[in-house]
Amino acid sequence: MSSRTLSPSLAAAVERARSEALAAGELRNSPVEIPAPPLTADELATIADWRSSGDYERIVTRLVGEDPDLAAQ
Amino acid sequence: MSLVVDDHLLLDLLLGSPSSWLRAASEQSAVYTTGSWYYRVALAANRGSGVGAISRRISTLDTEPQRRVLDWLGQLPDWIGLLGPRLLVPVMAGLDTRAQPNLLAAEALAVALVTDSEIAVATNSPLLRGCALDLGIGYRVDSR
Repeated sequence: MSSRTLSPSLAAAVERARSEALAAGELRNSPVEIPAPPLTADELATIADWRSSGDYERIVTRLVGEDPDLAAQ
Repeated sequence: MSLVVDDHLLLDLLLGSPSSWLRAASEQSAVYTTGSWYYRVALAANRGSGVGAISRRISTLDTEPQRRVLDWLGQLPDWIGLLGPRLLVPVMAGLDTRAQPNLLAAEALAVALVTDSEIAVATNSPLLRGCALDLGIGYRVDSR
């Protein structure tokens, strides 16, 4: 556990979840080696443009308007 | 310390084009995202119809590349960590913060606590930042 100051009940919930995640093999300690995406250059360029052009953000804004639980604010 | 990344940074990592900070950070730690952020990416790919949509952008591709792009966006690779609600909901329900986080924020905070991570986002969220501060969770905006 880090030096975070949590309420006793929250700290207990975190420890239980951490133990269960560890037992299930869902906690990772290894750094990430980012693999090359299994797509062609054209396919990657399409997605990169979707992200960088603001189109992705506009779609998410619309989706968030339909479902506030998806909002970051 | 690990990282919990939002949907934008997740896309950058999947594309193999993270910022220099995110690349360096991910080379030193495990990377997680949340179900909500992953859901945003997959939902946007599948429901993004109309002006500016990916469906319009990939319409120039043949059928098979279109399918591969949508499949790829909809399937989170194993090297990105993802914890499920059975583990997270008890933590989400017990978060003790001044402002009430919504579902997306609560999930991100819970993943950060359970995995001892810092939260990294592309766009600042005052709500998430404030809650992270209350809980002693690191918070970084990586806008490239």
